[in-house]
Amino acid sequence: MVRAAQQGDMAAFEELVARHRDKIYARAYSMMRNEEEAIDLSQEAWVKGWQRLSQFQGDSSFGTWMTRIVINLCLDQLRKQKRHRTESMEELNEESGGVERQMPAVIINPAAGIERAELRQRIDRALGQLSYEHRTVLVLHEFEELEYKQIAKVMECSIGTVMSRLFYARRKMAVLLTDLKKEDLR
Amino acid sequence: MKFQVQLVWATDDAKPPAGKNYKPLEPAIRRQIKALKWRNYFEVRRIDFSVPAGEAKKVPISEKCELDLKDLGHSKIEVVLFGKGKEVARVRQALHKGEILVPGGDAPNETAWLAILKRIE
Amino acid sequence: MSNQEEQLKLQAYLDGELSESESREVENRLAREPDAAALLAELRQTGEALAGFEEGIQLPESREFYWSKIQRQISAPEPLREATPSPAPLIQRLRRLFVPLAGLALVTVAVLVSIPSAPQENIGVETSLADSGAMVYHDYSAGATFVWLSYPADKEAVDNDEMDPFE
Repeated sequence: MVRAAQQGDMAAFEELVARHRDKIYARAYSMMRNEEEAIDLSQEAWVKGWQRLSQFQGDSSFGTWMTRIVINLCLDQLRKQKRHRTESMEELNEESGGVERQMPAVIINPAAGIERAELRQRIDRALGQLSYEHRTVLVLHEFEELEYKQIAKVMECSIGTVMSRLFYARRKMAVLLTDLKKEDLR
Repeated sequence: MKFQVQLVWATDDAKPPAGKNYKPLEPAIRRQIKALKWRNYFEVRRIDFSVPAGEAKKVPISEKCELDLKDLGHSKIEVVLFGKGKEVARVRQALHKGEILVPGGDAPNETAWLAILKRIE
Repeated sequence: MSNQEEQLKLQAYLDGELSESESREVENRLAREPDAAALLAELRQTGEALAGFEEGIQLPESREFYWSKIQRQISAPEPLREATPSPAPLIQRLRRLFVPLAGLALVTVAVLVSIPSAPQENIGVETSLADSGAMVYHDYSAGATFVWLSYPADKEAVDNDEMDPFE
């Protein structure tokens, strides 16, 4: 199918879009947290994918290749948005670790007892509560399964920063999944 | 083919004029016209209609405006817009399910009118 | 365990990012420190909770509609040039009507002067506009074509509220 598309077969490319569209959209949605933006960016990724098809060598799966394209588009968009945003106090707090870093490790199995559907909703909400840096590092590590140095390269930061952000993001997710409030932690 | 045409008022005002019972445009269509710059959009009128294959249909949008839609086959349509009885625009293009064609123009007080033609089937 | 560096090392151990010797050090600590073991368990279980999250997400558009927008962008030729360049009025009108043109949805703008039949076949749209100030604009990503007319054309009538299109 990919080979046919590489030779200009539009119908074959359309079939590839149909097979992978949910995955590409899901990645964009995880990163952007906005349905419309995720749709636009996923479509832009497909257009770029078509333009660059000759570059796909088969080193990775086609789906993986496409998700890398959409991730880069999302990162570009997030960087543009960040330039126009003023950081809130909460985000500055997140950057320095906030209270979560000092929190004792009391969360035993954050997802225990939560139905799958409810868990998905909680994860969805929780992802929306992370800053774009923390959400991005979490998505790149947990969903895209990149190594620290790969994430550092993509996010243009140090490995140490990747590690801090990932740690914070994971701990915050654990708190949000179990509905703990900050007052309960002191 | 089945279509829907909505006459819409585009404005930066939060509400329609007093006495007018226009309802806010639904979010799905708002997303499709996101390129336009007004803050709010209100539906003035909505008409659903069908056009049999190869045929044409005239649809009045308001007292002054009328839309004539002809099916040209293979998802292609020709739309002629009449204002006060005179032809003001003729558009020939493919319109697939879910896509919209939006004739529009200025209205008083920096508002605008839109005739959002959407292909439903 | 309060040392941030030790916490991050624990995380790196979980993620397979440590060397063999560093991993052995962490394993020794895990055997001695229940807090460290508890934190490792929390990090692991959070990861397990996240697994599979994206599999449940579905694109909220039909196959046909989603593809039609992509296809149009793939097939789009070079943007049309103006028939008769009049940069100031065009830019002013565009700014008045549309949000800033930096987004990826904006591909083509065609300005047509008063030509009774001026087919624009190379963008898949043919238009003829009796209205001399009219514009055609495509937002490919939204599946939308805008035909902007200067009707009602009479400014005085507009100012006097004589020509309300909604009446």
